[in-house]
Amino acid sequence: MRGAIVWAFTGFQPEAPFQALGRDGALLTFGTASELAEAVRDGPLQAASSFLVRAKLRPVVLLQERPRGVLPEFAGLKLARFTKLNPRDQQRIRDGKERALLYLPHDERKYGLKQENAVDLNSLIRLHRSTLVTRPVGYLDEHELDVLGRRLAECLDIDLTPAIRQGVIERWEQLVAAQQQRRTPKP
Amino acid sequence: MHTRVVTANEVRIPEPGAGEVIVVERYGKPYAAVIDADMLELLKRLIAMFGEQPPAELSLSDVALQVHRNSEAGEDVEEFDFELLTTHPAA
Repeated sequence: MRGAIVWAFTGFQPEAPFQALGRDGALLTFGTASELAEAVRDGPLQAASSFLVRAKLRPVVLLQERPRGVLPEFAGLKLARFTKLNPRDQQRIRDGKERALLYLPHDERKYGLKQENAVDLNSLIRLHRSTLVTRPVGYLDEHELDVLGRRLAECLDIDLTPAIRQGVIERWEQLVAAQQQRRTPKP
Repeated sequence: MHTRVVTANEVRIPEPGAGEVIVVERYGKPYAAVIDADMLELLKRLIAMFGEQPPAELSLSDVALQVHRNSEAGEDVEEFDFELLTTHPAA
């Protein structure tokens, strides 16, 4: 499923003002997260409450394989259109000049979508298997997944430097050791 | 990385082979290294790619931000083709 484009119901992020079902089933509104916590403390709300949030059926790209099927959730990124931008800005996306947006041209055979889209790298979500409405309608190719992974690490502020540095140092040490071994006179 | 260029006439160094690193040791420890031009380019690219990075939000463009906001609001999203319920039902 890595790189698969599927349609799924994605929930919007809960945000203030919050609406949640109280213990008695009534819909309660809270202006801030602190008020919510106070309602849990004081009793009107359960610790795990039902929030009223919107959800939308939309295309997403899945980022993970689940070969064992023991984890029912997938990490994914939302696909977005960009018709509301002016033509010049739209072209910037098509030209790959926007690092936070991976352009997917209109190619229904490859992506299974009827229009051009862009993967929004700032839209990381978790999707439960049961929210998937379709099986994959298309796939990103290996090159696109490679680009996506590198840019996603940037967007998530994941610092790959220590791991890369360690790899370079280890390779460097291997080269030096091999060179020294070649130069050491055999007894 | 600051690069100081000296001409080959000014120094005498061993000739580095392709992919070879010549380590100059002093008191039994690496002191300096000579690498070939291809490896220098690789080193520069690695530094450019993996040097200190500012938070990504600082470099988020207005274009990317507008697309993100529209998308998060549920606007400007491709409409679902209900035929897919028949042609591509979820397993």
